[in-house]
Amino acid sequence: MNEIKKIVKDYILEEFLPGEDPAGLADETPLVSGGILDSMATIKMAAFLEKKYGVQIEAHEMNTKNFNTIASLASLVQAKLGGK
Amino acid sequence: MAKTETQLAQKTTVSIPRILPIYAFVAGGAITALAAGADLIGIAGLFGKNGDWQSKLMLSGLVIAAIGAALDLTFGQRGLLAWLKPIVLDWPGLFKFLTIAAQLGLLLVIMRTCYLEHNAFYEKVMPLVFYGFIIHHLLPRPYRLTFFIVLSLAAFLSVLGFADSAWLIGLSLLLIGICHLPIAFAARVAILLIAAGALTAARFGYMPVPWTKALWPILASMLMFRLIIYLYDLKHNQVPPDKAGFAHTLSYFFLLPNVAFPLFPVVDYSTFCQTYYDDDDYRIYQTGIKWMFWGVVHLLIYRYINYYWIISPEKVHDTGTLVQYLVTNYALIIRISGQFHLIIGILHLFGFNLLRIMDLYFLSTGFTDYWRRVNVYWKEFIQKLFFYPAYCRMRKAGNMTKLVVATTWGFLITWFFHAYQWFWIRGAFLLSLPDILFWLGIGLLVLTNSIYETKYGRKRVLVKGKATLKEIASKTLRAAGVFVVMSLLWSLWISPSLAEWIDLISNTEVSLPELGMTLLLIIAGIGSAMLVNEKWSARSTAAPKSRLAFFRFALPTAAAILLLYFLAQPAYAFRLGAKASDFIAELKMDRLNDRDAVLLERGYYEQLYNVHSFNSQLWELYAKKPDDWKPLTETDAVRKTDDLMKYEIVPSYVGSLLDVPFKANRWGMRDDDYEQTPPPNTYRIALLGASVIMGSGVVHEETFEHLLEQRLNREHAKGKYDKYEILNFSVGGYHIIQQLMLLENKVLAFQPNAIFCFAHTRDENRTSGYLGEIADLEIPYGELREIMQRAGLTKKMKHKKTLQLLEPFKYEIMSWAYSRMVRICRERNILPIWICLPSATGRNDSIYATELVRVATEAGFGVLNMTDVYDSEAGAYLQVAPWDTHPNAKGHRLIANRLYAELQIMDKTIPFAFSVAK
Repeated sequence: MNEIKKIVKDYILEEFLPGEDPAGLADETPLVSGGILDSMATIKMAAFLEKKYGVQIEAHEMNTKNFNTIASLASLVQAKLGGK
Repeated sequence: MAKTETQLAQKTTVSIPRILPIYAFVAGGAITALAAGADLIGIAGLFGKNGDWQSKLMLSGLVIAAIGAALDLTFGQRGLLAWLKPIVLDWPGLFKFLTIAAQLGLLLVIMRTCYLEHNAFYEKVMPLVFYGFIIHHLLPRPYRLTFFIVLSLAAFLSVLGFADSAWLIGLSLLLIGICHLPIAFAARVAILLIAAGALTAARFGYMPVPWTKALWPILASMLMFRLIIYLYDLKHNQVPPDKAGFAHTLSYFFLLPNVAFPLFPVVDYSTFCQTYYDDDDYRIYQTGIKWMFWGVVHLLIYRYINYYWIISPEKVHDTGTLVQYLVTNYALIIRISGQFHLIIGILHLFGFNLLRIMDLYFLSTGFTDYWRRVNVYWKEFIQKLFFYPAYCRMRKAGNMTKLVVATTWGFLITWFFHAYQWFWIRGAFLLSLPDILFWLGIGLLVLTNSIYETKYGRKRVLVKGKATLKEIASKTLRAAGVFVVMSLLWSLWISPSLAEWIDLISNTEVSLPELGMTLLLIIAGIGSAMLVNEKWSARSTAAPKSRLAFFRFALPTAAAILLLYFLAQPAYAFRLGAKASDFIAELKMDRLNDRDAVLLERGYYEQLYNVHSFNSQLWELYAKKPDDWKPLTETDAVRKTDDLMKYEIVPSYVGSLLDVPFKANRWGMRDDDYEQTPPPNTYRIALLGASVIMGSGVVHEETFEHLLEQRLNREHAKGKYDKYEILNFSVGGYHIIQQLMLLENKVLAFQPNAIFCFAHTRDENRTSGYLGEIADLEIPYGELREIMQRAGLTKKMKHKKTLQLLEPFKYEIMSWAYSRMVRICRERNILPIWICLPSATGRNDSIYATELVRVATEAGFGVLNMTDVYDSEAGAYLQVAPWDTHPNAKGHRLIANRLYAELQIMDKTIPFAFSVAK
């Protein structure tokens, strides 16, 4: 789980927040309501997770509940991996 | 407090006899509240003719509540104590609550003083919101959602009445019930589609329905999108079980402010459930107050633009007027923004911590940003149900292909749903080329912007820092670009046709230096707003989280509300000086702008029934109009003629017009019968005019013509003259040219002693409109033909073009017609009197009559300016219906009295009929 969180965090910092202080991005930092993950960023994020973990994220799963924090994103991936 | 409430809820399940007292207390309280609020929810009639039972029921309720309280505190489980103790002992909470309630109370007063939106909102819904908020907050959390539903239903009952409310609730429950049928999802969708098909047929009018047409917009607004979202969320289990339930479902569909606002944000069901009390109660409430305050401000700004700045396309001729037209029409979007802020604010007061809607959209720095800001609810609806599913279906396609296809799909759906919404709310599909081009334009701009952002990224930050001047300048330029493009697109959207829009833009003489100056002004305006916003948002985010955080958060809004409250009070506004006080008074009045007022009148004068598609205020009035409320020209009371008269009243016609009996005499006048030759020693007055003079909407005996005739005969007959006769030759929709022809061809044969030619403010514009319509016909007047030729009118010319061409000649036309009338009268020793008499619009139109008064005076008429005739009854309801500005019976009495007084005064200067009166 922590490994997934780290990978997700690194991806967000590299792709969406270049130059930002990594310490400012916590597991519970709001991504969707905080304006970091908009619709374009959400589909990019989903594509990254699908490719990285070989899981399939459905359209109805691309919601604030699953995508709003690094922790919730990691939980989603974890659940998908667990269900495989 | 939450813990105590949970304990209370648990305790209530322990012993039935012990909880009975608390139920008695609640029942007593409910009876009292119901009796007290009977007027608000429209059930006062149940309490006897004079409300005899109301006070008795209130007293009974209070007694029951008191007995319940006493029993609970002595023999019961002391639930009341457990409930009230934490409220009373939580001093900071109590103070916060009172602060919020006080702000809400002031907002309620401001809304009522300023007549904001419509009376159903400020007279019924807002008082329910105010009292409901207080009770709602004092209730333990587990009961609040149920109370919200009850309150919402009370609001529906209050506004729609019992029968329509019953239909609304029944139909809604039926459709919601279908979503929960224990059958396959596809079968449920199929049944819903069949039900929607039946409703569509009814909306088109193919099927009779037992409810009134006022119900459609509300029913549609509640269900047309929410059912789709609800079904989607049900299918995908989007809401955790602890956040969903029957009460959530009912509160989602029966949203209290919905009854006053058919145009409603598309609230997402899962967001609605998940954000319910997801923050501190008081912070949620205060946020609601803040949005409501901004809603009020937006609506007042809307009025300012609408009353003082809006112009019609006919007035566009140079850079200044073009920019004014584009910017002001686009700026009218602020009304929707104001309504949406009010709606979301009200929902906050009941715990729904929803996102702000229409957030500083004039400061959008790109088209994707605009799409996000202008209606985040809609964007999320399209994204969730259409964009993401389309994107995910194309897994094997390239990223760019997926983006292009999914975005195009999203905008196609947006265009379709807009037409769909239009159909349900207004009863007709919106399928026009400007509409298609508008959505295509926005779609392409957003798509291009999205591709750019995907390729080059968009700057995102974790913590918003202080923006540099360079950043603000860059943002300003981009925002100005978006604003200009959106203003242009908006003007296309509101155009009746593409050709008219092209006409508007291409026929304007644009000067580049003026255009450059205007752009600089726009940049300066947006730049200033951007600077203020940057400074303010930096301040807001920097607010510390201390015990005083709430008050720091509330203070700016509370102070602004207080200021607005004082400004809205005449006693304080007066201190700002007469000019400012008049301006505030004008802004407080809810009225149509001049353009719409003309359109409303033209609905009767020129059969202009196509109220502009996007003219919501006028549409709202017309939506209330019964289907059989038709102007004279659409009834069988008139018959067509082949000349410029176009039509005339059918002689001896008996029927009805605007819900009142309408009878014509053998000469085709709406009047009593008269011989063509006047009886001996009779003073005969012939009236020439249009529908107001004809008495549209009132029975003949109520018309000022009849009242004046009666009074003249009652008070002056057997004096200089034996009898007075007033012959009403007025015909609804007649213009000065038709009146002139009527005078020449019909009236003179009746040998009148005086002609009263009634004019209406803006008659010159209406006459130009009429001439534009008859430009193809043979004009029997050489001088008039010559003026029209000089104006450049040709056959088969577009009506709008003829209006533009005739604009500089409108007073010359009136002057020619008036002079001819006066000449005809003088040749026959007839006294020509010209009277300016407006409709009962509720405002003084005297400034629009000044020029016409001059023209009539110069033509040689005896002039009576009665533009202030309704002023003595300012505030009284003087029109026949909200959608019809013809004066009602009271209005006609005012006219008759005033005219009688004016004639008496006039008799001293112009030889008239009373000189040797008794």
